[in-house]
Amino acid sequence: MSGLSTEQRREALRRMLLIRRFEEATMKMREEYPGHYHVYCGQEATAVGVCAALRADDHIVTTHRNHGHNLARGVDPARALAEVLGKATGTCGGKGGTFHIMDASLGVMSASGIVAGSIPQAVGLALAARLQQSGRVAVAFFGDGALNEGAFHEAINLAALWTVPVVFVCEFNEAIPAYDTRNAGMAVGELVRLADSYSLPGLAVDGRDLDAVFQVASQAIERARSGGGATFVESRTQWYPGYQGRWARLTPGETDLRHAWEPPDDQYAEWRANDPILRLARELVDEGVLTRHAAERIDADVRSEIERAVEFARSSPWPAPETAYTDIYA
Amino acid sequence: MRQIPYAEALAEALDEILSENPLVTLIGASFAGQTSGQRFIEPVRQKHADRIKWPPIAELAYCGIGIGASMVGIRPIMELSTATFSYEAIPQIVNEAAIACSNSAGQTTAPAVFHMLHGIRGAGAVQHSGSPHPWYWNTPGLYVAVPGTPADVKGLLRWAALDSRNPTVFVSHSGLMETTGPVPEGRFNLPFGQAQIERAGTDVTVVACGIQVPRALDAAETLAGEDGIQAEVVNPRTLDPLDKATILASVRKTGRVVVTDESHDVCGVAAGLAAIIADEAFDALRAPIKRVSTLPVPVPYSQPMEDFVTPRVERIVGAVRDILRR
Repeated sequence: MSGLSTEQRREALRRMLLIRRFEEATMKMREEYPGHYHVYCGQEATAVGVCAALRADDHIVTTHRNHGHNLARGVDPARALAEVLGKATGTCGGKGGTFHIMDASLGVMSASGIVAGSIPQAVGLALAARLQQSGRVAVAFFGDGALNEGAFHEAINLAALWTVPVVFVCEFNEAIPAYDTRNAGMAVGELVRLADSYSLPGLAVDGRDLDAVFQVASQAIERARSGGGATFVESRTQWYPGYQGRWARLTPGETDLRHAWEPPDDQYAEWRANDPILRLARELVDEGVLTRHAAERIDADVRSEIERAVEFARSSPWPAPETAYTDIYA
Repeated sequence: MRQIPYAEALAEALDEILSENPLVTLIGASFAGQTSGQRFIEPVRQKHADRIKWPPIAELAYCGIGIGASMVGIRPIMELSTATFSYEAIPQIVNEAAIACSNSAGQTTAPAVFHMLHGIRGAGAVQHSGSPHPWYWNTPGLYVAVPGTPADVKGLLRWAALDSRNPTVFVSHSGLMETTGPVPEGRFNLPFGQAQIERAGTDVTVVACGIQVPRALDAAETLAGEDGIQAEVVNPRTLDPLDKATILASVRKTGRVVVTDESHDVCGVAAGLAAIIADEAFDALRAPIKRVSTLPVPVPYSQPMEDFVTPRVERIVGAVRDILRR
């Protein structure tokens, strides 16, 4: 199985930076909107690595922590941020907000705020792919918390029984540094072992490593597409240091790309050493794929894009109150 | 017109739906539950065996799977058997299917059908006699069908499965399976939101849903014979969308109304319909609106108690007499 091309890795760095800068903008705008939000910082390599292995017509479903999956799939950050603010120009016209950003035109079919809520739908999308012989694959992104809900277990069992083309991507964002499944509330121990219960392949991967995620996702997606059925992927990532309670904060400060090469020695040193973005940037420069200057230019472009997104979201109109009545029924 | 049982009309609809649209997929295919109506369903199951997925007892997942599949063009019908089993799937029906369209600003919709058998069935006891359709009616984004006649079930199920663009909770009463009624030959769809005047009358309107339709018609015969009261029986057929115009026009004509449904009363179907009538036709009322619902207790097992809590024909008759005396 071939890895990501040079161009794909460059693009992956851009998308990962886009997610990080988007989340930083979200945290900075905290006072401007009413809801609480769930940032994707530190998990960027999972969304981007998995989505890089998908076809444009494949489907994904996601959760309350959906910003990264949407951006990885190519959703316009300006419209996503407008949705976070509840503006009329948001991806869902302000009906969904941060919990429910999705864009069916890019195959993001559902974002449920119930932690395992969208998982059965991914199996349904996969069943449809098989019935329609579309060759599509469905990916369900969810956190380790979803494993505590029955919907996950019922859905993966049916996916296994019915051999449908779906990939379950469990992002265990407290897996690192100390792998302790007490954080996930699961008696099974290593989460990937859950796959055994359903006679499915289980693949564990370092979720901070873009290329490793891509390899594992490609393997699972290829198996699904070729009729082999479902796979359970456990992507092990690291808790974002600013994520405390319901409100994420920029505790470690904005990510500084220069820290890929000149890391400061402070309490966040370990976090930064394993930050998937800094790690990828360092690798790409070491391998001669990019110069430092080129990497920083990508970051500058992304920052400009996010600044424009913030401006768009802020200046967008509120929805007319009566639009509460629209789209209740198709 | 030919007279056929409800279960036969249901089976006919299923056969036609499956034959007409290859995208229709059944997840579960009980439909008539443990009733004698199974004899009509079984041949359809055999004829279309390759179109049925038999799930394990996993209502939450298979309803969610149907929702996902329906978002991309499959026309799934989930057969939950006993309606109380749908409680296991509430997170998917209420928190996913119902909000798919709104939540996405119309980007997606989940036109899946959830068929279930509700109601007091005879020794169903506290967990197998439930009537959750008021809960689903209380959920914006869901269509709710409550067929009361064989023609209803055929036309409404065809429309829900073939034409609806929205998710439908489709509630059949197990006690209706052998009820016969006129059903036109051939294929016909009943679009949702069209109430039916089942019996014309001038003295009182009885709005009756589901199994209360034949009960109300029986009550109307008793009232005509014993009291000389002419009751107009209105069958809403669907709660969402609701044909308010037909109901209100009848109320305006008669000035008196009894609303009856086999579900619990508080926040129930009869209460909801009574509130709409009070809001919109208060000036036409010559007596208080009366409601005949399941008594406010868990449905007990033993037959005398079960009969007692049921919104029986005699209770409808009593309610009509009560408001006609005023």
